[in-house]
Amino acid sequence: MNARKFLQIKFLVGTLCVGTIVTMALAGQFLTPHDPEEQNLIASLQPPFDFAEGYIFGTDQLGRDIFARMVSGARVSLMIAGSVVMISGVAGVLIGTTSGFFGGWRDVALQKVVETFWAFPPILLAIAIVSLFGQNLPNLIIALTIQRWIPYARLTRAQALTLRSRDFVLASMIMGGGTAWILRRHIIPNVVASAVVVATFSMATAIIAEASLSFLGLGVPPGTATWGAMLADGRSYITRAWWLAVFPGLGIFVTVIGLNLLGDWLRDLFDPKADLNLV
Amino acid sequence: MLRAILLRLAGAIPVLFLVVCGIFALVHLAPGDAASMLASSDAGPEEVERLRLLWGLDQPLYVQFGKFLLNVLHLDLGISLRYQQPVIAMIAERLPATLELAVVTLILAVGVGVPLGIAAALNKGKWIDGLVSMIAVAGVSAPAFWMGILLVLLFSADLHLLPSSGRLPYGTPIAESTGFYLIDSLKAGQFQTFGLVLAHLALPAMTLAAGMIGIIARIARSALIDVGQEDFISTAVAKGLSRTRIVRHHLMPNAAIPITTIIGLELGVLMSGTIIVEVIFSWPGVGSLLFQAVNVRDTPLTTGVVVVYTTLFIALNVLIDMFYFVIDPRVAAAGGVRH
Amino acid sequence: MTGDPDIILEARNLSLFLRQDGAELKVVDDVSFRVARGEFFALIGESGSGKTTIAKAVMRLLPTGKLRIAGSLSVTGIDVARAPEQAMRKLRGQAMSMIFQEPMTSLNPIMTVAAQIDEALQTHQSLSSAARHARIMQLLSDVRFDKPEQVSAQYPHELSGGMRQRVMIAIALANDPLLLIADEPTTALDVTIQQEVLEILVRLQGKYRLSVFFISHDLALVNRYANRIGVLYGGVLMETGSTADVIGRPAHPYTEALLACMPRLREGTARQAGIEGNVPRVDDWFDGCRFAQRCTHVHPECRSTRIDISAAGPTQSVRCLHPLS
Repeated sequence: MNARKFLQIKFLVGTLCVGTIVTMALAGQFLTPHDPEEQNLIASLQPPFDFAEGYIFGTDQLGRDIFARMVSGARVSLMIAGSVVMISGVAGVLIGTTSGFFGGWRDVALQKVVETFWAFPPILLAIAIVSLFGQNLPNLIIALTIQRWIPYARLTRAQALTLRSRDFVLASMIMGGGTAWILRRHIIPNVVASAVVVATFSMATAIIAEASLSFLGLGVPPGTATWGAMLADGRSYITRAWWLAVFPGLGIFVTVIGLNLLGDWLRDLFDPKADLNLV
Repeated sequence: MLRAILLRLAGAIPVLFLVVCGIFALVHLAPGDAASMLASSDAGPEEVERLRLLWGLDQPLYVQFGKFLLNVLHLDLGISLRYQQPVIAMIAERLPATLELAVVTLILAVGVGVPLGIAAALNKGKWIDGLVSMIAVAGVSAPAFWMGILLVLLFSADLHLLPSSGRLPYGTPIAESTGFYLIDSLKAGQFQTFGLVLAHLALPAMTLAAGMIGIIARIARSALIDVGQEDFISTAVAKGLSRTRIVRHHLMPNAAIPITTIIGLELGVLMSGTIIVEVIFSWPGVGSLLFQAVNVRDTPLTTGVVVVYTTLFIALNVLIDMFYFVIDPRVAAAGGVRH
Repeated sequence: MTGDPDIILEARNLSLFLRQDGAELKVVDDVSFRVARGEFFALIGESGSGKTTIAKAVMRLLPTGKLRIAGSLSVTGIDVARAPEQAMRKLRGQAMSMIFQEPMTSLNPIMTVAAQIDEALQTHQSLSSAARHARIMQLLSDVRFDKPEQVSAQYPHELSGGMRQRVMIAIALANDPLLLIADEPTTALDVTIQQEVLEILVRLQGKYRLSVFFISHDLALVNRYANRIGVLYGGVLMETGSTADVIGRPAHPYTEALLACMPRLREGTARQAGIEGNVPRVDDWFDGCRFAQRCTHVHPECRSTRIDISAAGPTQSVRCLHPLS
């Protein structure tokens, strides 16, 4: 099978995966009669595929419906990951464009900032922030964005640098176009395509990062159902009730694989030769 | 070339300095009185006051920073609140476990990833290529903690093929010298122990390597395809060289350059991954130490691990840049590589 | 294995077809020429004329899946179209060698000059390392390096384009080939370096009785060095003959048109800007002369009749219904 067909498969499977998860997050509650927090100790640790009782993915140690919890967990994870990607994307593009377009001391200073933040291994900073500053939603978002903006900054800086010296930009400057106008009309549109590719992959890693933090007990405040926390719970029951851990993990897997496939497809769409490894 | 090496080493120092500044800032920006943070939760007000004076927390910030910097340079990272031991000693004790896991993972990732990439490149467009691509995406997409649990389920829980916790079965004697059990057991001739060490390394290393294998395979594939299009490959064919010779002496060495780049980029992921994997497999390394420290809000221990981990990461990146000097003669001429 | 031992390279009714995605495209049609031992034969053509494909076919650099060879193409009597890959590998780098157009990228960037020449030696000969070292030094002197020891330890990025091309020639000569195929080796070099490289080639031709099969688009360049010239247009060989004849008394209108664009070669002619019109498309193979649309001497039957090769002088053959006299 040649490259073209492979690309189409990526698009189809990717959209299918992401679509399934998003649908589940939005409308999943209609597939189960149970509430995510509803405890039923008699029905604890029920195996999955019990359609009579409506326990599609079984129940956990407190009798809560796994599927219902996964639906609410999907919402939480997607929202957190989504906001994290958007914030880091906007911040990164702004910083990178400033750095590349204006140059000078701004560029040097920002580059040093980038280098410093980049020097930390990925999740480490996030763990440190949450543990030092307390476990709440704003802190979680900060912890997840603190390094995530860098790939955008790098990318847009490189592109701003090349674009800055291009003839049409110089012409605009001579004609008296204001800086903001130039940025808006010339620089940003060129940058958006690559930023979208980075954002897609970044969303995938953001979901994994948030789940990892939740798994370690450092994510959203305890009690909220997120896939990572569910996995952490499920670990102790792995021999007796595998479904507690396997299904939430499967949810993450499907989401992430879908995003990765879509990201590949997008990247090939915009520039088949490029191999951006900025994630 | 020596000049380029020294320049690269020198370039790492400002970053290290800024990192230490950043960590200091982080600790001091955190809410709550610094002293009460550094004291255990059940300390009385006199204890807190004592600590405040002891740690010089009544001093102006720049003095505190100076002391912090000096301490770090002397490798003094404070005393753990929970365990009442020097942080540096606790970390040093557990570092070999983490390093051994990381090295074995790297060997596994490269050992499986590169051949997969070669297979995909040499069979471009055929089903092997597609299969490798799918394995790559799957490996990258499966979060470590899920992969680990699945592997435990598969190999440990039901089939009892591989152990799922610790570096050795409880109570197994090991003649410790380096702290790297693979080396230690071989040195002492304890071959059965060696086997046990490998068995215990298997699942954690596989979990950690899964994502890396995928990425390395993909990069190896595209690097080989790119190099294959280069003119000097035509020259090699025109010389009458065999296919094996061309792959081994012309394609692979040149493809090693982008592969090294990707390994460098993946180091960070590897290091973060060890934290999660050590927790899942009860691996007595620095990662699980961090987990424990965070759980009991042991700030000196947490800070200490962050400093060590980051320094290690910076050092590894410098090492990778040094490796470029070995594999690519053009780098020295250009004055060193910039990522 | 047949034929005159003094004919190193022979093409007879050679047609070449490029294959891609299941489709086949004819790029060269019914080409015949010979290169004798010790002869410098220049194949001249514009880009897209098929000359590089012919060079690659001789070496069989493209696998059968990408290039189909029809007709006869033989090197030292061995049929390139039908020889097994093992046999081809024995020929490559030994009986025949090749140098390429882009010296900047034709050498392995992470191997020293010595290692790359050594590799050629080790593939086809069993010499001691001392003997190989001596041979490497000798080869580097042959290509006019004053300090062979120094150059041999250097990496390609430390050398200029002209120097890299000379290293390529040294590699090509390592195993005393009978035939050297040069695919536009000077196109990417400065004019002065071009002369230098050609001087080296000619000297080697004389010293070792080396046959040189030189591909180029530049008639003026090969005028001084080639013994015989072939003129290729649109995948068809229009004219062959000795250099003196082809340039002094061209038989084909296309050759004349080419020469008219280069007044340096002929005294007293006004320089012509170029030749009107375009080369026919590769997928458009019609009966009749490929040059008919642009020919100033065209006759009606030129466009539709199949044209065979005819003699046009003691050394020349031409594919034209109305050759110039």
